[in-house]
Amino acid sequence: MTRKAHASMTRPVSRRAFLKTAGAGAAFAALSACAAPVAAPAEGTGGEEAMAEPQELNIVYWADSNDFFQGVIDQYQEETSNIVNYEVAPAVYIEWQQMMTTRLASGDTGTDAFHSDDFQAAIYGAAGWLSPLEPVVELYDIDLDDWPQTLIHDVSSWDGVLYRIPWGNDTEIFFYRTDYFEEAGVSPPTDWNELVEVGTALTDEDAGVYGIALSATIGGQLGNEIQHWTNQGGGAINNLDNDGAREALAFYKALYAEHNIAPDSAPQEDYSSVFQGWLSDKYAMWWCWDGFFGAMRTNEEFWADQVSAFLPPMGPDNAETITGCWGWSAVASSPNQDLAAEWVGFTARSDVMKQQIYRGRVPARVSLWADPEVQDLAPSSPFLLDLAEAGGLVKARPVTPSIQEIYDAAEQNVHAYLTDQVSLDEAVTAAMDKINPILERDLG
Amino acid sequence: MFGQQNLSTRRILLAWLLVTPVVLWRLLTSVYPFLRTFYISFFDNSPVRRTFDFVGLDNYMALTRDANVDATLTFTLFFTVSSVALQVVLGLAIAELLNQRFKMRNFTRAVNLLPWAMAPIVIATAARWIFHQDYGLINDIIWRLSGERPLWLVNFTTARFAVTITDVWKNTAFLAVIFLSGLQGIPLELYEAAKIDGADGARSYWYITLPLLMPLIISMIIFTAIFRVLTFEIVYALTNGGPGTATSLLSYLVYLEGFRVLNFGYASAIAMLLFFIVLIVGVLGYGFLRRAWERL
Amino acid sequence: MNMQLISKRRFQTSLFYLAVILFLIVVLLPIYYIFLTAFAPSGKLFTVPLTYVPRSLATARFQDIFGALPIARYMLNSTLLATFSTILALTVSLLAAYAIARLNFPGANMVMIGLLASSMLPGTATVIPLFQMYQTLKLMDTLHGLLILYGSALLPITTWVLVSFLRQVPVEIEDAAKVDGASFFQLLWRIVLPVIRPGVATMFLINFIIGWNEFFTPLIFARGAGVKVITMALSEAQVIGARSEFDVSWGNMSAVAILTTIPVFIITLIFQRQIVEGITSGVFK
Repeated sequence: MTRKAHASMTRPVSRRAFLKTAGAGAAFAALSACAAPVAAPAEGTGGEEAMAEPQELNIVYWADSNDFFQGVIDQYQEETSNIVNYEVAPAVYIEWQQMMTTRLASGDTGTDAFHSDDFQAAIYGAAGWLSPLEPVVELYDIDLDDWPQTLIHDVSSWDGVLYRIPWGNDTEIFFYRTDYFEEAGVSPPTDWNELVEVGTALTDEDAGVYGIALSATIGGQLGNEIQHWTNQGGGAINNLDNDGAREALAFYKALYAEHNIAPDSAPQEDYSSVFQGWLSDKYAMWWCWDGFFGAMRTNEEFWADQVSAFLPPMGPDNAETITGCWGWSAVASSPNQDLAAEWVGFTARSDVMKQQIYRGRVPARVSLWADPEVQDLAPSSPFLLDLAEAGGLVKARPVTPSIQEIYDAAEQNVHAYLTDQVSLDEAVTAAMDKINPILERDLG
Repeated sequence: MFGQQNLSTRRILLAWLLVTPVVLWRLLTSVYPFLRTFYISFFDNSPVRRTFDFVGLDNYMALTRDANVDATLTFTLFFTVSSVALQVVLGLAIAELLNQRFKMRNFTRAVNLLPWAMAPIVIATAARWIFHQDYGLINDIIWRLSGERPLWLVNFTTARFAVTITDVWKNTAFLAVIFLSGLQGIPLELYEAAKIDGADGARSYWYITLPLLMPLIISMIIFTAIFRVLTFEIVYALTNGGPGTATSLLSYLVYLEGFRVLNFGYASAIAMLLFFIVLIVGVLGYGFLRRAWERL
Repeated sequence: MNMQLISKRRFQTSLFYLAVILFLIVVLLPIYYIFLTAFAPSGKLFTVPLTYVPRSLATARFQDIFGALPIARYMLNSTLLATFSTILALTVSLLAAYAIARLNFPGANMVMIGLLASSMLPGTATVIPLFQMYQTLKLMDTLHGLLILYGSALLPITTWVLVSFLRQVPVEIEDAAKVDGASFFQLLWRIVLPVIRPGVATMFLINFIIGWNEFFTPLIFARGAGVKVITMALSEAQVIGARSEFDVSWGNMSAVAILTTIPVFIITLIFQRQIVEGITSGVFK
């Protein structure tokens, strides 16, 4: 690890510059349309002397906890002489989301900034709980053109207001075991039919090896599966009542129920159990977030010459995959608006953002993807470049302020179908009965 | 008896002064919020959408159309009946066991209490691991005995049993302790008389023990049933209400609607439904209990 | 004939001990399994078939958890909440129980029934307005706010049990003290409390365990870093030392499960008799 080396790339902010930026940040926030309470910029504290006092910034970070993030914090503390109180979030996504929802709904003043995902940016942004970040972009001269535009416009903003600056890029790609493929004499599938053929050739149930891993447990993961498969059929998680989506869902279930190229336990598998299975040679393919690549890369049991990835095969309608991100949002009810803005600006810097490669993640700035070090430690970046080059192959999830309700409704009903409790038609009808009014409320 | 002339105003005042803290505390933290829940259930109230609009009976109408509510009521019935039945039968058996004289009886009685003392969330979280198809304790044992590895949480019937089993494991101790105490209260002479009449163990259990315990058993059935309807942690940490919504319980639904997606109005309507069910169980149970007492 | 009888009795005895052993296994094996998971080195967690004999006792996991999470703070919060909610609930319940059991006032029965009925109002049926109240009153994420809720949950049963204990105690001693001119609080403190001390101690133990194990209330009302309790660390511990959200550590969770469980196990094993008495006195008397 060469974390120390990056310290030289940082540009320390002078105290004068910081004073200026803090004041300007408050002014911008005040000018912005949102009614977020804005802290007065260090009024009556006696200027220079007061600024020398270290301020405390409270942040919450999801989801892993390791040395890399402590490094980012240390760097920030060194540069600003502020103190960061860093809180580990609950690992279960749903619990984490509920925790932040509860806090923000009760006008939390103890959190200044937090690591938010696509859903949270939309839900909390629309609720008015996040500070608009346009002033931060302007203040710190952040070039948003360096980000994948869909991440900025489709999942970090709501109603044209930016509530989050993407930090780590997450795109789903197809992982595979090169040694299994070689052994079976097959090459990466290019469409759904081939996927079944290749999967069948790779599956050896007696040896406990399956062609493809599916993580269909409820609580967000099945929702992503529904979204990427139905999207390739021309549907979406909020648009299931059409032939393409139905075909996709039937195809998905057939993978384990009919073709037996995935284990019967698929409806109960989650990311961590598939990850564990992957480490014990159980799977040959997995369509999953590229962070998984990084997780393997940073794991001691990674076998660099045995795992690679390919772009998703062509579905009935398209060959798209889904993309999203985690990023930093500032809490509107925080009394430390200037500090939160400073933190968001800090994390948006290339040199800071890049440090995510130490957890195997690809930073959200496109200009970093070709960096050799990024390509080495975050091995999915070449594939992201391929996807970008091919053009139009990545699509953000259809995030609206009620996305969690939509996900819940789709997951519950599709899961009932996957576990033989209802028919496909019943599942789709029941899901859309619930989703349609919600969607109307969001968009209408 | 305590004095007749003591019904003085002073005494009554003192009495009410003494019960006021408890009454007030409960009124503010339980009764008032409950009434308020009833009130909110007539509103579309969401802090996310920033609404507080009167909608009449809309939330209750939505309840009748919500497939989740159907599934939840189905499982509530399954869970309550199966868990209460198992707990009562096993509780009686364990009480009988702990009532015998044997070496290590004190140790066994203490062990019996351990699951009761553990936090429900700990047990529910551990159960997720214990029911895991590949690495779980239960499947390891089943696999050693039969070579099979059932998919507990995939099949909706076995998932329902997994929730029940976890609940029974945690809570049977409580019933066993109460039944044991009931057994100890039965006069030994009754058994001796039965022995003279030539009744064996099973017969005297059937004709003496059970009838005498019956009021206790019935009141425990009511008590246990009410708490089954209110169960939250096991579903929250073990199944997330799945597969599909096959193991969803009303408390969990209130949590989802109320605190995951912040539909306070609709969640309040579900909470009222939950209260209504508890009320029915309580009233029905009270009727049975009275009849049992009368028969005795 | 005689031999037959002996062998029959032997058969019954061994059947009985078989049942006892089966019972012990069913209760203890899952608990043992949680311990095993917590102390197993990370690599040894996922073995098929399972190994039931610990190969080593890796304590690294506990060090990791204590290093990354404010576990001591969580445990302190749990202890404070469980202890003080118990003391508060016992104090006010004792006052009410005394009035109900001794002062024979009109409405005493109504209070008893009312308490019982209010204990059947499910927590989920009151949580939303409480949440809104707590927001307005700025009680969210405060220990005193939690204390009010923790204590409230204990009141009905505690009052009932104390009433039943009081009713078993003869009133003559109190009358004698009254004749001697003792003030009301002197009477309560010097005469009544010593007599029903076993009942109070019992309820203290049970209420402490209930408070320690609380999860739903802090899940909603204690989301701030300073007021979290030990049961909430179960989920937070999963990611300690993880490289990504794909790494869920069941070992870490088991370690927290043990930290959560050991205090209540100690209490239960030491005070088994008192706890049993508390559980049953609420039902019978």
